[in-house]
This record gives sequence, C-alpha cells and structure tokens, in this order.
Amino acid sequence: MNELSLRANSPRSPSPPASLSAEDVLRRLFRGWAYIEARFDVLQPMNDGRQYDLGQTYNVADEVGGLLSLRPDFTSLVAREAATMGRGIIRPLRQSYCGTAFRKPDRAGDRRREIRQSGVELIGASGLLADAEIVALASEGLAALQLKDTQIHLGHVGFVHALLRSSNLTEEGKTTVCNLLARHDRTALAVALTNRGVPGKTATALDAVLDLVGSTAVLDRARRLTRDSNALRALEQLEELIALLSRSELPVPVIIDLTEVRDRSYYTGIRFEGFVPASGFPILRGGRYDNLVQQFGKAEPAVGCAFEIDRIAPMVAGKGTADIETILLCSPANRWAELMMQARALRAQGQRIALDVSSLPPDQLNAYRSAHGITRVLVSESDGTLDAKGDRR
Amino acid sequence: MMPLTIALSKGRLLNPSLLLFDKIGLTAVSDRGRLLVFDSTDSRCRFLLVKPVDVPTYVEQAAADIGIVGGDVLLESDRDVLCPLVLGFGTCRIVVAAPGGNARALPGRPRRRVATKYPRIAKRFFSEQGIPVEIIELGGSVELAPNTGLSDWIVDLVETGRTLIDNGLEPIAEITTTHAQLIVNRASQKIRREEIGDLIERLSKELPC
Repeated sequence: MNELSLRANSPRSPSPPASLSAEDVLRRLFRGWAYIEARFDVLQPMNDGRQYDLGQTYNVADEVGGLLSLRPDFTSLVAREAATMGRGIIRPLRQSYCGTAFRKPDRAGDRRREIRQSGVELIGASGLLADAEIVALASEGLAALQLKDTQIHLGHVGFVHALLRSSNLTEEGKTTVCNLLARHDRTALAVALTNRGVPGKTATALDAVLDLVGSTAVLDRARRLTRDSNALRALEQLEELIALLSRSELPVPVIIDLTEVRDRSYYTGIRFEGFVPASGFPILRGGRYDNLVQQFGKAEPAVGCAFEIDRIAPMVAGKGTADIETILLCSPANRWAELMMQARALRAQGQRIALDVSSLPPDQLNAYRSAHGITRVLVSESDGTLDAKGDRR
Repeated sequence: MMPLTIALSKGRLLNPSLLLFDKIGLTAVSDRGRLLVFDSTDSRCRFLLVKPVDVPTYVEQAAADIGIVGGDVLLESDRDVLCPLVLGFGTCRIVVAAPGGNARALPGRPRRRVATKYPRIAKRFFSEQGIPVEIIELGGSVELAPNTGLSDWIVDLVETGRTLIDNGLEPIAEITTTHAQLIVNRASQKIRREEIGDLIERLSKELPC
C-alpha cells in the first residue's frame, strides 16, 4: 500500500451551493455524522477547572469580582460540558461546534486574535474505530469544501514520546530537543543531543524522525529505529488505522507523518493536520487528547478535529453551483399582498425567494442579479401568474 | 505546478545565494534589471528580492515557500519557520562591544545601556547572563552610540571586525556565530515535500564540508 492507494475511488461529495458558507457545508456534514451542535457563551468563567495561560486569553472582571475570559477555544468547553452536564449520558458523545474563539496573537506564526473554527469532538470513545471516524470525517469535510489537492498528514505522538522517554533527557532537555525537531534544525539538534549525552542509537533515531513522512514504508523505517515497546505499539496502532482508512477509500490522500512534535503535552495518540496548496497554514487540525476531560473531574478518552474557517472561507467563496436557485420576485405596484403570499408558497416548496422591495428599473435589475447570485427573476402578473424574465443558468 | 517561491535577502547574501541556486541548475534570468520578482530560466522557481529582515515574515506567512536569511535576522525575528539547512556563507559573529574593550558603565548610570539592532538577542543574552541592562533599539550605525554617550556597549553583527576597530570599539563578549540559513514555510514543507526535499538535498551537496 502506498499513499496513492488512499486516494478516493468514490465520487466527490456534492458541490456546496454557491451561497453556502464553509460553516454551512461543515454543519451539514457534521449533522450527517450524527454530531449535535453545542453552543457556548462568548464570556466564560475562568475558575471552571480549565488550565489556561491567562496571558493568552482576553480577560474581564465580572460584576462580583470574578474573572471571565472570551472563550479561547471550543474543545475544552465541549470537554467541560461532557464531564459536568453530560456526565450521566451514555457514551460516546458526539458534539460539534461552530464559532469564533479569541486568543492573543502571541503563538508563533499565528497573528490572529479571532479564530473562526468548526469542529467535532467524540467523547468517551477510545480505540481504532473512534480515531478512524474522526479522520474519515475530516477527509469528507475537506472533500465537501471542494478544496483542490488537499492532503491529511497523520501521525502518532506515542512514537516520539517513547523515544524521548528512552533518551535520559531532563524535561528541559526534552523541551529543547522538541523545539529543535519542530524547526527541523538538524545542525543544532546534533549539538544538543551530543552535549546532553543522549545515547548514540537514540540520538540517531531522534534525528531520523525528521525523515519519517510519506507512504507506509515510513512505518517500517520507524520500526528499525527502536525496540521500545511503547514506540512500537504506537506504530502498530497507526498502521491499523491507515489500513482501515485505506480500505474505506477516503476522498483525500493521507500521508503518514511522524515528524510533528509540537503540542506534545496535549495530544496522547494520533494527531493530524490538513493542508491545501493555496494556504501556507494548516486548514485542519485534530487528534486524540485523552488527558483533557479529566481536568474537569472525569477521566475519559476523547478525539476530535477543527477546521480553520478563516483560512478555508476565502478558498470556498464562490465555488460550486447553487443547488437551490435564488429567485427575485417582482411585482407591479399594489400587488404586494399577493406577492408576499406567492413568495410564502414558493419558500414552502424549498425555494429561496427575495422580494424586489425597491421596484428596480430593468437596467439595475441585471446588476442586482449579478451582485447577489439571483438565478431567476419572476414577475407576478395581475392574473396571479408568475412570468419568467430571465434565467441565468 | 506553481513555481516554488524563494525569498532572497537583498544585500551581502544575495550574490552567494544566487550562485548557490545556479549550481543546482536554478539560474535566475539575466535580464532582471531592477525587478524585485523574477523567475529562474526554467520557470521552476520564482525569486523575490526582499529586505533581509522581512525574509522570515515572507516565509512564515506563506508569501514564499523558501527563503535564505542571515542567522542573525532569523534569531532576532523569532518567526515560526523551519530551518533545515545551514549554508556555508554569510558567517558572522554577534558580539558585545565596548569602547577600548572597557566593560565598565559610564559613571552615574545605574545599569549599562546597550545600543543594538538586535533587541531580542541582546535581551535574551543579558538575561541568561544575569546582567541588568537597558536596551536601546537602533536602526543602524550602532557603532556611533558609545562614542556619542548614547550607550555604554553595543550588540552588533561583526564580519571582519574592521568597522568596530575604526570606531574605537572592541568585542568584550561573543554571543553567537551565525550563518546564512535556508528556511521553509511549514505548510509548504508538507504539501511540496518531495520538491523541497530534493532541493535541500541538492543544495546540501554544494555546500563546503
């Protein structure tokens, strides 16, 4: 099997209507996978057990001297709900969200203050099938958005975690090594490993991590680097997942990628990112984070992913053809009541109807149609019939 | 396939950078005049000429897939880019220098004042050394600062040391040695990994051992 075999043979998802936003497309997808959308207040209490760096959140005092923050992410809020309000609900829980998170732009590379995200969380399910569900959903999401030449890079943090555990490095040393691995800075990495006395075989393995990206041959190369049972177990889990995804013919190619070492304290199993040539940033991130929910008092496994809407939306805008036409209903004066009733009847049939409330003259009507994606103009005649004045399709 | 976009630093690193790409067959078109954007003769690459300090930004924010930048600029910028290859040119030292090599502060100052184009590097260095200083950020001609009473020391990039000597300054500490580096956008490394991997391998073969 190679990465090409993971490409889809199945048909692409239906085109999103031109008027559907990236959020609309993903909402429809999430509903199709039986995820229920959760809604969260923008202002969130800071004493709910979440472990945030106050320097990264926008904070305000409430009326009794407590501290509120603008929600800095959604995953922790879903986890909190699951561990508290959803404690008694039989698992797994499927929750989705869509909205804006707020964080200070001090994270490397990310200058955004407002981060629009749509995502899903599968709470209370561990193992292969749960991981596969999230990667498959992510893949279908990218396909539904009709982004060209997307890729999913999928890895497992357990491999590098195990190598680091066997390196005899202190926590400070592990952080330094991870930072250098994250920058692909082989020269400085070699110096750091030598200066810290990391055994030769482990040092070689840590350097080789940077080459572990590609087809399933990567897994064989990774196995040859270590005998650590935890590292080998991580590779085995990844191999099973890749095999399952391959058989299910995902619409987006999956590349095995063990080079990603950032966020090592957050993820506990698989982790993945989605890329598209038109964006210099990941447009999708996800993975398993089994240690998050226990912050709220109930330890349980969780896996999820988030689509970066800010980065996706400009690429999706104007794509596809409308599956629901937009009709502009016009009428000679004095027939407004009839027009409104006709519009109501058409809307009940699933049509999208705009009323010509400005009585636009013909020369402006065409400009209005172009600007607003109106597919048809219907004129309500005095006898109650609707006369077509043009069809753009 | 879109051409690979490569941001090059204007100034002292430009010619060695173009020469290095020429060695691996990516030759810049000759009739580029004063153009800031030009292609390689085979149209596989597009070169951008940008101010050195902006190269990491172009690469981090994906306006370029790859860049060549001095290690001093990279250290100072703290941008989130990959640094897979140290190149064999543009080697310099970042030093602390003082008039006549005298490390004492001017009389009456509670702490030493340090003039520099590299405030992050300087702050990090003095913090690690446990030396309280006041950093004065300048845009250039840093060597002038001690001679005009603006600062006690400077932190600056030194290639031959000639400019320091000419201005009566001597190094009192070396912070680091830097080299020109190849930097890569994170997403480009993922999405164009074979192309970029091949380019890095060919470049590395042309570097002095």
